[in-house]
Amino acid sequence: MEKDTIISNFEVELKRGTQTLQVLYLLKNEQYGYSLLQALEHRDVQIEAGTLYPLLRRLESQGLLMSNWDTTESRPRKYYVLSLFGEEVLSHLLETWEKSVAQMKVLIKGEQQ
Amino acid sequence: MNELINRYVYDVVKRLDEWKKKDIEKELKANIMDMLGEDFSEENTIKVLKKLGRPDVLALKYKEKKKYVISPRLYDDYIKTLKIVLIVFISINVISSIVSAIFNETGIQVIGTMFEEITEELFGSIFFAFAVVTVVFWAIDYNQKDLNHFDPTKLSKVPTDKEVQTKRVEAIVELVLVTIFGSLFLWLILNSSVHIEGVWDVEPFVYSGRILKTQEAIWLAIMVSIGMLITIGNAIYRIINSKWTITSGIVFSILEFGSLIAFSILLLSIKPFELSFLQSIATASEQPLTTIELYASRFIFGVLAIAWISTVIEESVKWYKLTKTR
Repeated sequence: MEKDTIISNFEVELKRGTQTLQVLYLLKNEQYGYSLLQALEHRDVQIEAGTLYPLLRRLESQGLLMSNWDTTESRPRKYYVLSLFGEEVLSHLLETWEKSVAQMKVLIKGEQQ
Repeated sequence: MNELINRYVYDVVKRLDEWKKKDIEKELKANIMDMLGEDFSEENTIKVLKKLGRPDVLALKYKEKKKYVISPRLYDDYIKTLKIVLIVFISINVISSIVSAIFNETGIQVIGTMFEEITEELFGSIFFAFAVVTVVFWAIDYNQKDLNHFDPTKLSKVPTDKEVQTKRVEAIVELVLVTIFGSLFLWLILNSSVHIEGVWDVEPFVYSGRILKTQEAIWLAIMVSIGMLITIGNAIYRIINSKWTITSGIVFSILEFGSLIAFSILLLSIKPFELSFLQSIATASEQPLTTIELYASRFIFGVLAIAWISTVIEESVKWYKLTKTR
C-alpha cells in the first residue's frame, strides 16, 4: 500500500469517530438533511451525503434525535433536532472528547520534555 | 420527478425492510431534490446520485443490523473448511469415476466413460459439499449469540502443532470414509434390486427383484442420510476446532444418540425385507418362512447392536478425553 493511502486511511479512521459528535452538536438547532450537510461542509467537516442520511435515521431510532415532516413548503422536508436523551449523550461525548484531547496533550508534552 | 431519481430510490428501498420503505423513500427523494437545487437537468441528477453512491451500498448503510449467512468472524474458517471438503469431494468423485469406468469399459472407451461420469457427478457433489459446509457454519453462527461474554478459564490448552495436525488429519480421514461408505450404503439401500441364479445345496435358487421394500428403503435412506450429515458436521467441527468443548460435545452426543434411537425405532417397527425374497430363501433352504423371518429379524438386531456398540465406544472415548483434560 502506498504511503499516502496509508496516511489517508488513518485520517478517515480518526475523523470517523468525531463525525457523530459533530452531527449531534449541530443538531442542537433544527435542521433537515441537506441543510445539515451544508452546515458541516461550511465548517470543513467531511462527511458523505450517503453516510449522513442513514446516520440521522439511526440516531433517531436510538432516541437521540426527534424528527418531524414539514409539508407547508413546496418541497416537503424532514427536520431533525436533538432530543433530551440526545442532549445527555452529547454532553457525555463532549466530556469524553475533552478528556481525550487533554490526555493527548499531556502525552505529547511528556514526550517533548 | 426525474425518472433516474425514481429508479435510484427504488433500487435502494427494494433492499430494505417493508415497514421502513415508505419513509426512507420519501426522505431520500426530499434530500435528492434539495441536493439538486433548481437544476433538474439529467447531468446534475447524475452528479447528485453519484454523490450519494451505489444504491446497494446506501441501502446497506440504512440497515441497522447487518445480516450475514456466514459472519466475518467465521469467514476464514468457513473458507478453509470449504476448501478441504471440496478437495475431498472432488477427489472421491474423480477416483470413483475412474474406478467405475475401468470396471465397466475396455480400451479407449474407458476415457470417454471416465469423462462422462466425472462431468455428470462433479457439479452435484460440489454443490452438495458447498451446501453442507454452508449449512453447518450457518448453524454454528446462528447459535452463537452472546459474543461479548467468554470465560478465559474455559479456553482449551495450547496443543502442539503435531497434535493439531494429527487431529485434523483424523477428522479429514473420517470425512472421506463416511462420504465413501455412507454413499455406498445409501446406494445399496435405494438400489436393492438383484438377480440371483445359483444352487443352494442341491436345490436351484433363483431370485429376481428387490431385497428391500421400496417405501421402507426410502425411510431407511432418509435416516442414514441424517446420520451421515451429523457425522460430516462432526468431522467438519473437528477440522475447524481440532477439539471438543463441553457444549459442542453435548450437542453432537445428543444428535448422535438421537439419530441412533430414531434409526433403531424405525428399523424395529418396520419389516424392511421383501416377502418374496424371504419366501425364495425359505423355498431354496427348505425351511419354513417363519424361520427365515426370524433370521431376518436377528440380522436387524445384529446391525443395530453393531451400531449401538460402536457409538457407545466412540462417545465413551470422546467423553473420557473431554473430562480427563479438565
